[in-house]
Amino acid sequence: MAQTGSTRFSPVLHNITPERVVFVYNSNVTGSLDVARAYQELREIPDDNIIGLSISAPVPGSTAVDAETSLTKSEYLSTIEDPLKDFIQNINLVSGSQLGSSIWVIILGYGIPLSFVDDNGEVIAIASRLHRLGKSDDQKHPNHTFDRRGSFSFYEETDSSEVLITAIIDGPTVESALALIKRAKDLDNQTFITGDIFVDPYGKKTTDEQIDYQSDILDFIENEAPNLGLLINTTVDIDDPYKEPTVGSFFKDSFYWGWFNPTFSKNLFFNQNQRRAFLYNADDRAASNIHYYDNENDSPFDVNGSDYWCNLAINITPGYSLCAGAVAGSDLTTEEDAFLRPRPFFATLHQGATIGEAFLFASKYTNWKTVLIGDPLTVINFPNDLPNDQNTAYDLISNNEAILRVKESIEEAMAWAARQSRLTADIVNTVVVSQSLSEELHLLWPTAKWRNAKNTEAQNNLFTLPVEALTRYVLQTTGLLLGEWLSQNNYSISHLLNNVIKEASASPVDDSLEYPEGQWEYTFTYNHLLLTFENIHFNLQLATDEDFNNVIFDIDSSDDIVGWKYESEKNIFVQMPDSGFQSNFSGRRVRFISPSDMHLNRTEVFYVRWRALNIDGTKVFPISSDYLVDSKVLIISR
Amino acid sequence: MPASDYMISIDKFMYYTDYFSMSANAGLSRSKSVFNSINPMVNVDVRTYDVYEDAQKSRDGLVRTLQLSYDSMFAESMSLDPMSDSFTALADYIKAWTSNSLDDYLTKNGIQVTETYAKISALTANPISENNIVE
Repeated sequence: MAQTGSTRFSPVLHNITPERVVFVYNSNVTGSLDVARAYQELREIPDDNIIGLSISAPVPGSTAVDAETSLTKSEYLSTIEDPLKDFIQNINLVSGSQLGSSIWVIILGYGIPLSFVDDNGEVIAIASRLHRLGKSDDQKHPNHTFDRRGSFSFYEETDSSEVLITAIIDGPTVESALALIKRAKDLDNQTFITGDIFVDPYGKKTTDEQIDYQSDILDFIENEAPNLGLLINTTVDIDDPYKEPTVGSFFKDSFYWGWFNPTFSKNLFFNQNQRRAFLYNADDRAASNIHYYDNENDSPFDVNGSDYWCNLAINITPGYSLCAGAVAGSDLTTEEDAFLRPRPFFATLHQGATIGEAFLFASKYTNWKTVLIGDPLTVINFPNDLPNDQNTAYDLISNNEAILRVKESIEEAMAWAARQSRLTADIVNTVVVSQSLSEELHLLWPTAKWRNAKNTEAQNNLFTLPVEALTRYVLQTTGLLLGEWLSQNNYSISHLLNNVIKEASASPVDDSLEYPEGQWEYTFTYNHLLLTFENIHFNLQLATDEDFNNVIFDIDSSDDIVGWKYESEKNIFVQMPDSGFQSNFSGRRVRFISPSDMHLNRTEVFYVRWRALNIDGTKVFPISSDYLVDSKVLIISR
Repeated sequence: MPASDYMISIDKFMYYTDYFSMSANAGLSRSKSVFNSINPMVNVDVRTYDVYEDAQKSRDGLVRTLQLSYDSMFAESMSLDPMSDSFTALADYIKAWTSNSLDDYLTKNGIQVTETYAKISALTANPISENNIVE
């Protein structure tokens, strides 16, 4: 358990300790060191982790709305990246870090420029580039830590070998930067957050990326927000492509997540007792000019009453502890796919991670436009406990899932029983057709005795008792007959199991609920071992021999996604998209259900192996061999 | 009885050994699958029941029944009766035809049997050398 130099009530669950943090200040800007010291005091950052850089572009207090200037790339490299890289390398040398960097978090303090202009004219957020400090500088680099919904883990040392956590503690004045630190401390001291979550899911609807982003926000509202225990306050969609819904006003808000409208009015944030924690508006300029200050009117706000979202978050009263936003737009690519995603953001926070981790895990790309402003070590407690399906310590299963698994195990057992009946009958038939008197003399009686002991009737008798117990259990715990339970959950039943039910139960299952004869499915768990974000396809082979000399099906999801499903939510399988399985679902299951032209004979057994390929057909798993061979054979039970 | 009537081709012999062991394995796999049905019921979250009256009792009853079923199916699949008669009969048939023990017959013809077959054969007083068992 990490100690982070805070006064928090609840135990710290994440791994980020003070010595993992570097704080950068601008030695050319008055007050920048004061902000660094204030943060050092709050989080107990070691003296050796504070670095002053001489950057000749002091920007706070600019009076023009568009006055924020970007460094040239060479200015950025010489005054920020190179000295910072040397500084961290020295710390790594002392610490002897093996797997990654001993520094996991870089915070840019007061008076550090926000962006630089890359060689192709693209404006890059410095804090976003620093996620990849010391790594390749390809723009819009896919983030391997994005959305760890498959199998959550806190940020750890292996992650630091590819991506660092970054944030900015800055504003138009020293006081505003210090206010962000004070607000972080206040949040730390709160047992749990109490304000509402304001969400505006509706923006533009012209492109697929825009529709996807709206869907992602709606998915958050439906599937993640109810877990948190806070009230959700959403805008209402209006069926008019020329009008864009927006929040009327903010009151009792702790979070805001919206998009598109780039400006809002400070007058619509009302005074309140609830702490304002985090604001994000997905647009192309929310954090582009956080140093703005109108000296003439002695105000950080625009005189016309229309401010960018991060300027509002920092400067309103009471203000937000943190916000996120883009420092610029792009003329080269669509922006919506690079917007932060709310579901991984809140799910990560709910796990007890820092907001720096939540921001990183909600970011599809690094070395791009979006930055986190505020203390990245802030942890926010929610009123509700983690839901079972996100709690890694929860190892129970729901009653429906338990019934399903028992049913499937019994179906498999019955297939083995039927196989034994068939094999012993085949042996006797072989003896009979041998037309060899001696063979019949020696083998007919013992093999017939064996066959009779294992025939269908004898096998079914063995299953009567457990099948009766299962149907009784379903009725007593769900109030439904087995057939009703199957229908309600859209499940099916094997012909062999249904036969026993017909004999054993007064409530038979309708034949229409039986699986198609000879259908089979194969389910496996994919664990992503690479530190890259991938869209993955799978290659599955079925063979009649364990050496795979006689492969009967060689199935590739990149050729055809028919039959391929993946576990989108725990125990819920949905169709795999053409783009494949996203590596952030690592730890979840993948399933292939045979289409009708791949059905096989019931009770036959097959050997199975699979491998994962990335979108280019390059092998990504298993790394050390061609295929992962299942030690268990597949029996056709349907 | 003509001597040729005792002849059994190597392919036919291997068919019998394969099918005997596959049949014995099917019995074991059957009981293993029943065993796999117990764990989900032990780990069920009783808070997810729709109906609570007697639900706990019913769960305990199902677990007990599955355990009993597994026990009886496992015992049955491990029982030599009646499959040992077939294994013995095949060994006797080879002996009657070639005057060799089953193991010698395998060695002379370079035939290997499965581990399952070898284990059951050994229990019927027809031991098989390691060299004659498929790895």
